[in-house]
Amino acid sequence: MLTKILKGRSLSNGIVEGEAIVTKQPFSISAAFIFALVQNSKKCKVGDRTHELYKKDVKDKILIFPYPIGTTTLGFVLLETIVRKMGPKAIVCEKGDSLMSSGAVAAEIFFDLKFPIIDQIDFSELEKIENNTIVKVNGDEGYIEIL
Amino acid sequence: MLSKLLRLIVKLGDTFGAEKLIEISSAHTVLNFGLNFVNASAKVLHQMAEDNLKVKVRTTADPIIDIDYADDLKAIYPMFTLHDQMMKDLDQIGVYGFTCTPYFLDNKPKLGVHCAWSESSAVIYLNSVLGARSNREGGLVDLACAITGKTAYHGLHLTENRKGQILFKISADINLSNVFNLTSIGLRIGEIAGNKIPVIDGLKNMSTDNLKNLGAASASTGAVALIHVPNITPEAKDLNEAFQYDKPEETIEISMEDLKEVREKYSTEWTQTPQNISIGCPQLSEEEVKNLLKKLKGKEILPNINFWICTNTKVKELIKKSDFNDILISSGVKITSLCPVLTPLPRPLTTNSAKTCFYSLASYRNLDECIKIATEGINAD
Repeated sequence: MLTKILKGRSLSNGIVEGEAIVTKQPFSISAAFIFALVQNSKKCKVGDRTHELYKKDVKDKILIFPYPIGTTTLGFVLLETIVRKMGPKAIVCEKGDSLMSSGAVAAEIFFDLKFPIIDQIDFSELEKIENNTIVKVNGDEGYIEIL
Repeated sequence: MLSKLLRLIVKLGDTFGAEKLIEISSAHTVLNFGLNFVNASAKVLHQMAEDNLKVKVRTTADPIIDIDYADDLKAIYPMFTLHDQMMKDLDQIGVYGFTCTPYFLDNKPKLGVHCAWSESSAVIYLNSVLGARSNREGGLVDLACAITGKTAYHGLHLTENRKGQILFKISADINLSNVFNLTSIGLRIGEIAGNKIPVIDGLKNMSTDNLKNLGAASASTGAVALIHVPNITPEAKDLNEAFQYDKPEETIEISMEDLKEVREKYSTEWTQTPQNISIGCPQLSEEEVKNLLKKLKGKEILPNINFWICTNTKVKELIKKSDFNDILISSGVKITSLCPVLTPLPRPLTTNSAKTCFYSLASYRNLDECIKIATEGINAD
């Protein structure tokens, strides 16, 4: 099968491969991950009851959504999930922001851990990716590869 | 450490097309919660303190636990394992004043100045009501900016990026003197606007306190960091100015049906009498506290309910020293500087706050209903 490459913008470095989990709903990283963090859970079940991914485990997934929402604890909540290695492996979205990026960039600068985030890929393309499809995220060069 | 902090700001700035760093005049951080999910950031903060770094601008932080109620909340406070160390470190680097409404203390930037704030409800107030300029910074970046005195020049720091994008019209049958309607409008606008800039037409005589409450709701269900309200907010003397003389990308009407829908969607309907009722998220202004206490005059909170009035430490002390203290004592309400979201109050929980309702499993009611439940129980009709 041919692989498909979608080019975007790199918000943080790193190259990973994993199963995609795709949602059309904007994603509040704080609302989604705080419960799992507080419980020091081994899984990363989404704790946002207003979200369609509620109770779904996104650990080690390539998390794909249109754009991040919610309060500004987002940056350090993401950082904490990266350092504990309990959350997704990478994030791909249509429109990221510096707040979300800050968690991943801080992980690299202060903890030498890479967590790629790619944005600027049309969601009309991203939503075609089916759940559990293997996706390679190349945060060093800013593209994803659907395997 | 200083070079790493600068690298953080520069890397984010580079990615988002900043051509330079600019001086900031104020900062506000969310990196102070002391809960066990901020270990990584707390380590970085501790390193800042160890390296003897100091903030260059006035820097406040979000609310912390309220020691006055250590007995009432003894089941929760042990969760704040990082609190003591983080407070020591924040003090060491020069951060003081703990509230989500720093603009009610002395951290109130003027129109047009550049800042590095986090706390979504505070950022939206800063941009919309004060007309100062900040992106939605995150915990750590906010302190990196405070220590270097700089932030990257992109996003909402540029005038052209502050242009209104979506026009919201408020249906004439919505009673705008009811704050519950305003906060519910905020929830709906956040959902629709996402990360765009809303312009709300049809909000007359809107107080800045109610803009605070509406904005906090939009910043919860969306990533909204700036709202223009023609004739009220400083960068929108009229609709034309709000859209910088361009056309809206789309126009959306908010109806009473929308408000019913968001209330059902975000409220957790507890059938038992609540153990806790919290008012004030964002924390209440002095005027809001006084108005609430006037409503509570002659009433008594039921013995099995904690009724929390959340405000900043300055207002808390001021009220306790004023004639209003008599109402505090006779009604049995608890005035506090805690954050009802990050100090997870035991459930069942009822609130009039759209933000608390979004982040906690709380029943969402208007203020009068909250008071009725607090004084008469859940079966009050």
